[in-house]
Amino acid sequence: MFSKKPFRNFFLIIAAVLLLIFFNSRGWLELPRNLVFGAGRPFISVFQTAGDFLADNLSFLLTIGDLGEENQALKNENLELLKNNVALKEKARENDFLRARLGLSTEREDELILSRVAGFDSEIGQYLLIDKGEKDGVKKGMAAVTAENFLVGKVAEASANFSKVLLIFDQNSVVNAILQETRSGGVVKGSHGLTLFLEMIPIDKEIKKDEFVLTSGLDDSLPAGLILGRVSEIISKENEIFQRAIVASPIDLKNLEKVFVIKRTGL
Amino acid sequence: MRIFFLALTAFFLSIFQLASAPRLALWGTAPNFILAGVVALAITAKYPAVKWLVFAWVLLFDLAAGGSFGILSLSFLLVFFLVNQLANFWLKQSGFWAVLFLGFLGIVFFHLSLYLFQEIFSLFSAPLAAAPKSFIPFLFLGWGVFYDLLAFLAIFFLFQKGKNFFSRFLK
Repeated sequence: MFSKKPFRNFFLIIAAVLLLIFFNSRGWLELPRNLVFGAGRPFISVFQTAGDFLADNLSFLLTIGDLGEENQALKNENLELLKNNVALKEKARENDFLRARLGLSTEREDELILSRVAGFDSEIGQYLLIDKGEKDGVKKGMAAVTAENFLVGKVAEASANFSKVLLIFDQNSVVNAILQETRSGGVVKGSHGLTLFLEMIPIDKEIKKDEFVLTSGLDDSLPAGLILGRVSEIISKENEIFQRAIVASPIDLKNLEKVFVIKRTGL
Repeated sequence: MRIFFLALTAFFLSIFQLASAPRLALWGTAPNFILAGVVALAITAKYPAVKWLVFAWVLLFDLAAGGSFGILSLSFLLVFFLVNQLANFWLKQSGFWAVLFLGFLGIVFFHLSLYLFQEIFSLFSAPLAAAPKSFIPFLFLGWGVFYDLLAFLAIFFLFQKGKNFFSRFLK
C-alpha cells in the first residue's frame, strides 16, 4: 500500500479518517461505536476480573508483613468512627425534629445508577468508561461517585449503552468546592491525572490540614456534599491573593470496579 | 488465517489497553500498548494486509476509547506511516539499536502529534471533549516515552518470536 505509492495512499487514508470525523460530529457513528463497545465489553470484563484477582493476591502478598499493624490502626479508627456515627445519628434526629417544627422541606433523595467500570483511557485526558448510557438515564454532566460518596468525575459523553466519565484528576476537570470545617469556598482542579489542587481560596481564609473538601453544590449537576478528598498540604505565599492546597483523594482508580451515577431529581 | 491471528492479537491488545493497562500506571502514566503494537508493526510489516489491519485497528480503538474521535487515529496513522517509511527506505538495519531508535522516534512523534491534534481539535470541539493539555512537563513526557518504549520492546519481541508463524506478513 505505502511502498508503491506511499503518499497517495496515505492521503487517501487520512481523507477517510477526516470523513469519519465529520460523520462522528454529526452523530452518525453512534451505531458502530455501540457495536464496538458491546462486542468488547465481555472481554473487558474478563480482563478486569482477572486483573482484580491478580491485584488482590499480589497486594495481599506484598502487605502481609504490615497486616498486624494495619489491623490495629483500623480497629482504632473503627472505634473513633463508631463514636462519631452515634453522635451524628443523634444530631440527624435532632435536625429532622427541628426541620419538622420549622416546616422546612426534607432533603432531596437523588436517584443512583449503578455502573460497572468498563475501561480506562488516560491518553487523551483521564477518562473512565462505564457500562451505562442514555438508555439507562445517564446524561452529560452527571456526577459519578464511589459507594462511599467520593466524587470520581463528571459524565463527559453519554452514548446509548455506555458513557465516558472525565475524572476529577484530569487537568480539564474543575469542581466548585468547599472546606468542611472552615467553610471556605474554592475550586478543585486536577493536575496531569496525578493529584488534586484546591485553588482560589483567599489568602486571609483559614485552611486546616486534614479537613475534608466537599462539593459546594454551586454547579447544578453536582450535588453538594460529595467528598473530593482531604487537605494534605497548604501552599500559601505572602505576596499572592489566593492560596492553594493539595487534596489527597483516597480513590484507587486502578481497583475501581463500580461507580454510581447521580441522577438528580427535579432537574 | 495468519492475518486472523494478527487481528486477534490486535483485538486483545486493545482490550488489555482499556481494561488492564491503567493497573500498570506509575506516576500517572500507563504504557500505551496500542502505540507499541502500531510502531512494532510499522517496523516489521511487509504485507499490505497488515497495513490495512492497522488502519482498521486504530479506527476501532478510537471509537471505543475516550476523547474526541479522530485524534488517536490520526496520530497513530501518522506514526505508522513515518516509522514504516523510515524502516523501509532510510533505516534498513535490523539491529537492536536501530530498532530501539526507530521505536523511540515513533513514540516521541506520537506524543507530539497527539498534542498538536488536541490543540487543533480544541478549536472545533467542546472543551470538555478535547481540551488541549498545557504542555506536559518534560519529566512526565520523558517517563511516558520510556514506559511506552518498554511496552514497544515487549511487543516487538513478541512479534519477533512469532516471526515463523507470521512469516508471510513479517520480516
